[in-house]
Order: sequence, then C-alpha cells, then structure tokens
Amino acid sequence: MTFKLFSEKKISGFIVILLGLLSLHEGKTLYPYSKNLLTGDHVFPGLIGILLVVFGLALFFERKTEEKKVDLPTGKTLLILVSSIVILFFYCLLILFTGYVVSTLITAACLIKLIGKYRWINSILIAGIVTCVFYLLFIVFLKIPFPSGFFTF
Amino acid sequence: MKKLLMLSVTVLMLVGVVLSGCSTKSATTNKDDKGSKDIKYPTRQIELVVPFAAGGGVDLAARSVADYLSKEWGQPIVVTNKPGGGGIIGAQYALKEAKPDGYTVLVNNNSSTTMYEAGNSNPTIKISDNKFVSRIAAGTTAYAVKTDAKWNSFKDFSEWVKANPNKLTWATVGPAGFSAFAVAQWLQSIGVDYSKTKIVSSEGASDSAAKVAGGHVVLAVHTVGEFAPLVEAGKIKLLAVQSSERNPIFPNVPTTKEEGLDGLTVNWWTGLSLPADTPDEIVKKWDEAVAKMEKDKEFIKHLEKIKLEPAYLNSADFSKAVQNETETYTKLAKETGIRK
Amino acid sequence: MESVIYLLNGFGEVITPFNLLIVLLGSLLGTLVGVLPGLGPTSAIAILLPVTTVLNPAQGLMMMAGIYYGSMYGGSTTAILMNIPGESSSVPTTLDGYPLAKKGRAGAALGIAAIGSFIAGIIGLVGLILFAPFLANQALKFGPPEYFTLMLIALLVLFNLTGFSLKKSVIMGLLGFLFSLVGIGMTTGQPRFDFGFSFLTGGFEMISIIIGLFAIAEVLKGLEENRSLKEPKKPIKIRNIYPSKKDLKQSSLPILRGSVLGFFLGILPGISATITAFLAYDLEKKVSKNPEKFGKGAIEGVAGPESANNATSSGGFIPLLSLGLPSSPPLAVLLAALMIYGLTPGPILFEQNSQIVWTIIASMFVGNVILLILNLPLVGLWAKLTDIPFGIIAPIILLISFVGTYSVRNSMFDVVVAIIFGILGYLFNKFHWPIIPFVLCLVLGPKIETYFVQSMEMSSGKLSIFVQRPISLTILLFAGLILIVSIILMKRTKRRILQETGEHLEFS
Repeated sequence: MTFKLFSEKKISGFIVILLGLLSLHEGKTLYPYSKNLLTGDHVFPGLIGILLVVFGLALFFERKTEEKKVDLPTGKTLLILVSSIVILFFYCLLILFTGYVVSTLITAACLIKLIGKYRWINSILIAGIVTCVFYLLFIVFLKIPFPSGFFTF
Repeated sequence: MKKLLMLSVTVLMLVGVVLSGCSTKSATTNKDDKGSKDIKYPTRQIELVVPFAAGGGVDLAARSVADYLSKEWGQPIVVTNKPGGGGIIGAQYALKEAKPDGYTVLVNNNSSTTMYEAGNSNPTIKISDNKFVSRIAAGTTAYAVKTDAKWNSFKDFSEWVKANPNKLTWATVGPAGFSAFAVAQWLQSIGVDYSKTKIVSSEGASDSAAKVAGGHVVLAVHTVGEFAPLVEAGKIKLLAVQSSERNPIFPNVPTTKEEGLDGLTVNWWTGLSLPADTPDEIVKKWDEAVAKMEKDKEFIKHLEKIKLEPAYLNSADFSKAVQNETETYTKLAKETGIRK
Repeated sequence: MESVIYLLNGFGEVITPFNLLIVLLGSLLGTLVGVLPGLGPTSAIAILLPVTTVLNPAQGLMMMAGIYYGSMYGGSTTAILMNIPGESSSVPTTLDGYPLAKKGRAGAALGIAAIGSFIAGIIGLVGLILFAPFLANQALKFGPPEYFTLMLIALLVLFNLTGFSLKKSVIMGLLGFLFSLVGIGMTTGQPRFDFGFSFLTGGFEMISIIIGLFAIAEVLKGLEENRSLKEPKKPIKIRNIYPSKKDLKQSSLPILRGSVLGFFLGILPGISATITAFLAYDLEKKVSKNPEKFGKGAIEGVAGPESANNATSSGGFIPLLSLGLPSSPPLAVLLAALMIYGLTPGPILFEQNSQIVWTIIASMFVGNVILLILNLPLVGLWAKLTDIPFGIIAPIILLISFVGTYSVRNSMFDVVVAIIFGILGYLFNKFHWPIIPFVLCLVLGPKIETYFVQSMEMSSGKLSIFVQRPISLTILLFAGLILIVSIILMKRTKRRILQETGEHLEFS
C-alpha cells in the first residue's frame, strides 16, 4: 500500500477543504451585518463551510483505497472533446459580434464537421438548414433577444 | 488542403463581417451629428429592460407600455427580464453596459432606486446614473393582518403596537425594501422604536401575505393589488390603505388619514429611466409618447386589470419626486438604522 | 367537492384550440427529446424551457407538463427498441421490452407501454385531485419551521438514494448548497460570494447549471464513447403496432397493480419512480403463473413497471404542488421552472393561483389522452428518429442548450456557466461522483436557508422552535419512519440495478 499524493481522493478532498474554507471566510465577513449568531446571511455559509471542511478531511484521510481505475480519454477522442468545448466558448464570443444567425451557422458547421465527420460541404449544408429552423423558431417565433451584433438580423 | 481553404474562407468572412459592421456604425454616428434637432427615432427595435422576474408589478406594467408604444411607433419593443440582485443586475445592464442611444430603456421602481440608495451607504447604481423619463403607474400601500385578528381598525392596531412593540412581527422583502420603509415611517409617526419590533425576511409579496394568513407573522405591508387574492379568499384583512382617497378595489377599507395618521407617504411606483448621458431629444420623445399613452382608454383599462393606477409625471416632475423621496428615505433610514 | 368544479373550470380553459395545440406541441416535443438516446425527462424539461417562455404562465406550464409526460414516454420507446433506458426508471422496461422487440413484437410492447402509462397517469391524477386540496388546506398552517424540517428530511432521504457512497453524496449536496448561496443575501441585502465581480451578484441560474450537468455533459459522454463512429444499433422493424386482445387481457391486472403501487408510494417524498418500477416488475414476476417467461419477453414485465413509473410521476405532483417538495430530479427542474414563472409551489399556489393549478391538472388529463392517441400510430416514426446519426444530433443538442441557458435571464454569463458545468458534469460522471444530490440541493438550498433564517427570526434565535411546534415535531417523528423504509427499499433497488445492468448506475 503505497502513499499516493495525487490520487482522486487526495485531490478532491483538498478541493473540498479549500471550498469549505472559502465558505467559512465568506460567513465571517458577513457576520457583522447581523445581530444574532443564528439569524442572518452568514449562517449558511458558515455551516456549510464547517461541514465541507469536515467531510473534505474525512475524504482526504480515508484509508480504503478500493478506487476504481478511471480511464481518461486520450489522443483523438480528447482532441474532439476539447475542441467542441473550445468551439462552444468561441460561439459565446462570436455571437456578441455577429449576432445569432452568422455565429450559429459557423458554430453548427464546425461542430457537425468535428463530431459527425462529414465533408465540409455537407456540414455547411446541414448547418444551414439547422440555422434556418432555429432562426425561425427562436428569433422569429420566440423572440429571444440575442445580441444583434453588426447586422440587424 | 481542403481544410486550409475552408479556414481561410471563414477568416475572410469574419474580416468582412467586422469591416462591414464598422462601416455601418460610423455611418449612423455621422447622421446623428448632423440631424441633432429633429432626430429620427426610433428606427429599430427597442429593448425594455425589466430588472425583476416576469409576472410582477413592474413586469406587467412594462408589458402594457411595450404593447402600446410598439403600435404607436411601429417599431418592435421587446421586454427583457434581467432579474437578480434586487433589481441591480438589470439596472447595471441598461444604465451602464448598454449604449446611451435610447434603444435600451430601464423600467424601475422605488425599491431599486430611492430605497436602494437610502438603504446602502455604498450603492452600486446611484440615482445620478439614471435620467428619469416619466412615471408610469403607482400602487397603493395597504396594511394587512389575519382575518380573525383581534384588531378591527388601524387605530386599535397602532395602540396595540405602542403597548407591545416587541410582539409585532412583520415581513419584509430585503432589509431596505418597500415594506421596511413603510413600516419604519408608520412606527416613527406613532413613536415606536423600530428596532424593538421583530423583522422576518420574506421572499416576496405573496410569501408575506401567506405568512400573515397562516399566523406566522402579524403584519405585512404591500400594495393593494398584491394582497387582493388572499383578501378575496377571506384569509387576510386590510386595516388601512395609504392614499388620499379610498381604493376603488376595496372601498370599505379606510385610509390611514381617516384613521388619524397623517404624513404617511410611502407608496409604490414604477417608471422609465435612461442612461445619464442619453441625448435630451430622445428623452423628450419618450416623455411625449408616454404622456399620450397615459390618456389612452385601452391603456388605463389595462392598468386596472393588473391592479395598478395611472400616475403619470413628466421628466422634470418625476426627477424632482425621486430626489425628494430619496432625501426623505435616507433620513428615515439613518434614524431607524435601516441604512447599512 | 369544490375541487371538481375547479377542475371542470380547468377543462373549460384547456379545451380551446390554442391551448390544445400547446398541450399537443408539448407532448410531441417531449417525446422527441425523450427518444434521443441518453436524454431523459430532466434534460428535456431543462432545454425546452425557453420554448415555453413566450406563453403566459398557465400555458407555459401546460406545455411543460406535456413535455414531462412526453419525454417519459419517449424514454420507454428507446428502452424497448434499442435497450437504452433514457432514465434509470426505464431499466425494468428494457428487461422484457427489448426481448419482445427482438421477437418482432415491439409494437405490442410499445402499445402496452402507452396504454399502461395512460391508465396509470389517469389514476395518479385522480389521486392528485383528491389529495391536493386537502394538503393545500392544511398547508397554510405550515410555517417556516415546519417547512424547514420537511425539506431537511426530504433531502436526507434523497441523499440516500443515489446508489453511491454516502460521503460523496453529502459532499456533492453541500457543494450544490454552496453554489445556491451565491448572490444577494436575503436578510442583509448584501451580495455574497461575489468577490467583487458584478456578474456574480445575481447568483447562478439553476437552469443553466442543470442544462450543463445533464444535457452538455451527456453529449460529451457520447463524444467520448465515439457514438458517431459506431454503426447505430439497428432498431428492430415494427410489424404490428397494436397489441392483440390476448396482450391486453394479460396486462390489464399488471397495469392496475403497477398504478396503485406506484401512486401510493409516489406520494411519499423520496420514493422515486425507479424504486416503484423495480418493485412492480418483481411483484409481477412473483404473482405470475409462469415466472420463467420473464426476461425473455413477457408482456406483463412491460405493463407493470411502465404503469408504476408513470403513476409515481403523477403522485410526485402532490408534494410538489402542495408543499413545494420535488421527489425526483425532473420534478426539481419543474420546480425551478415554476419559480421562473413567479409561481412558488406550496399552499400559496393553491390559494392565490388556484385557477392556474387546476388548469394545469386538467391539461395533464388532456395530455395523457393526446399521448395515447398520438403514440400508437406514431410508434414507427419515433423508432425512425433513433436512426438519426449522433454527428447531427449532438451539435443540435449543444445549440439548443445554448439557447436554453441564454434565454432564462438573457445573459451570456449563464451560457459560460452551463458550458463549465458541462465539463464538470462529465468529470463527475467519470469519477463516480453523484450529481443528483448536487442538483437537489441547488434547487432546494435557497428555500431551506430561507425557512431556517425565518424560523430563527421568529424565535429570536432559539433552535427549540423546531420541536416546540406540534406539526413540526410530528414531521420529525414521521420522517424517521420514512427514512427507515426508504433505506430498505433503496438497498434493494441498488442490488437489483446491479443484477440487471452489471454496473453501479446513479438512479433517482
């Protein structure tokens, strides 16, 4: 039984303790606003902070190491996973500048190409249909106020 | 190779998009500069920002305004709810983040303006960040207790509170909310120490009303419209309304003045404001349109349906009223300890 | 008797062409999302929320109820045709549904599932109508202390349900709580956990976190499994849509038994559809004259659990509408949706918005009828939907999730939060950290805090208020009892899931 510093339990226990301390700290800063120990906005941050620290410590020092092996994706799969997330974040930015239609078309085409592995031309075609339907549904019918960007549509 | 091609096409498209965007923008600013006397407004969709959740008094009022003005101006007016932070999130968005071009308008009420400023020594959004356009509607304050409570008049109730201030539990949404100021003013006028009463935090008007109905708190103070469902169901009763005349919805309920309490002024209102550096022409356009709207029969009927009263004030009067209210409330908040 | 009149009024409201269309649309959309592999009712309600926001609250909620029922039905379609349960409560349906489908009797299985769901839904609704007004009448007497004890107990029971280690469940629950605290505090009006960032003063929007954890995380999971490369599982051809007379006769008693069992257990907080579905399956096996048929395609094995599943979901509306207590994740999302509409479930809802409540209940009847009429002939179409390649479905789910999160508060910050929680949800899943306690605490956290602080404000900071008030004390005692029952049932269900699927599945 070797001591592993970077096992799942150690890391998660550590994070949980940190979050607990953060919550306790927030409880402390809020305390002066209230008159009573048990009434006010500081009660729950404090309480949850204490519990998180306790359970975090319990997790950190847990003896049993029947941890199942977890395979994280590698290689191509990892690349696809990461790039889809990056595309989504990029979408958030793009929509601010170009409005819903253009950004959705670009995002949809990239995602379909990436995930479905179609040819570019097909991806853009499918993306075009999807964007049209979404535009009609969300913008024309449901009137969701997306940032309009440079265009009026 | 194909990928590379596509990539370059995308980049080109993006560049084009950015360029065309810039060019249209500069074109419009030029136009604005030239025709400053008689501006063409509105020429596109207007966003009416409601800093509260859908379904509340401000939201319903905003929707009636949007309905009327979009027909009047022939431009779409979209109501956007940006709730959270006691109205501050939406105010921040409309007054500070949006361009002061008149296409983003905020619908305010007193809890997010005068009361917020009075209750906070360090407010995120100040009164001076607003350019107040016009007041739209008001709601009458009412004092509610449980139906089988022993008091039958507001006078009796005030006497009881004078004798037992520590037995009075009352509900408020936020420590510097609407109910807090109304109760503080009333307690001050009958000479009761605010800090001796027990304050129970509430999630909203309907929560406060239900707590009164269930006997968990003694008193709730909100607008007549917000109490109406539970009064009609016979679960709570109104002791008094705070207005110069009796309220048409409940004509049997006396006013606070009739009950011998003069000088109680806390009432609910909702109105429009724009970012502080919006051109005056746009403010004028809005004010004129609202003034016309407030005479419209359909609109007044609509307000009646959502249990609000028309209470139009033009830009100058509205700004002055807000200033006065802020001063009164700040004084009140300092004296009672509401201000933090 | 009052409630019958209210209900009739409600029917009057529902049966207008536009409202019928809304219910129909909701059921269709719900089934559509439910049929997509991996997406169950929880994700369906969360990502379809924006579609309902243009409507007024009553119509929006009618649609929501339609989506809920529709997605449940859609989930059983994939369970039968492809052996993929949309939610853990459909696991028992796969046991006999898939073998039946392989034998070419998918139509019969789907038909019986539809009929069973319909009858169970109706029985559950009748119960709802009888019980809800009674509870709601009593509920005004419930003050903050009573609600606090009630919610705390419900949470404890639910924690116990996840099928993972208790320590992990509690930690996840606490983290959910932590996230719910961000934003303006109720008693002081001061922002909490904002660290000086103005975008944090508004707090996190529950719906965006839920969409991240369920819908986006599910897509990431699918990407990792490379669903797009694998040849999609060939769904089985459906020859005959309608079940035969013999099937109907065989399943009539199981449907009845399943419905009654599902409904009565479903009223209790913490007894979920998964538990009752398994109980119903085992009950059918026990009372059957030839139990060896089970697992090889016994129609009773579809009828029983499907009915129990649906009856429990209807039963769950009683604590949800009258007390504001969700007993499963989809209902927790529904609770969040109700709050977006400014309707806080609980006694106040029945007092102040009784018209809306009864209209929704009436719309559930109508929705059930529509689903029955719709699903029998459309079975073939739904089955075809499962053919759409993952490479197209996944981007579409992501794009809809984007709109869904944005539209709740019209905020881009919420979208970023959803994507981050998508990644977190994926990692939680990988490392076997349960997300259900997280979601439940996220939704119930603010309420629990409110009730606790209110209780303390009423009692001037004395904890004894919780045992001094008779109703609150009764709840505490009664809760102990439920806790014990649910622990026993949970152990059993956990074992059964392991037996049938060979893995530790998170269930609800």
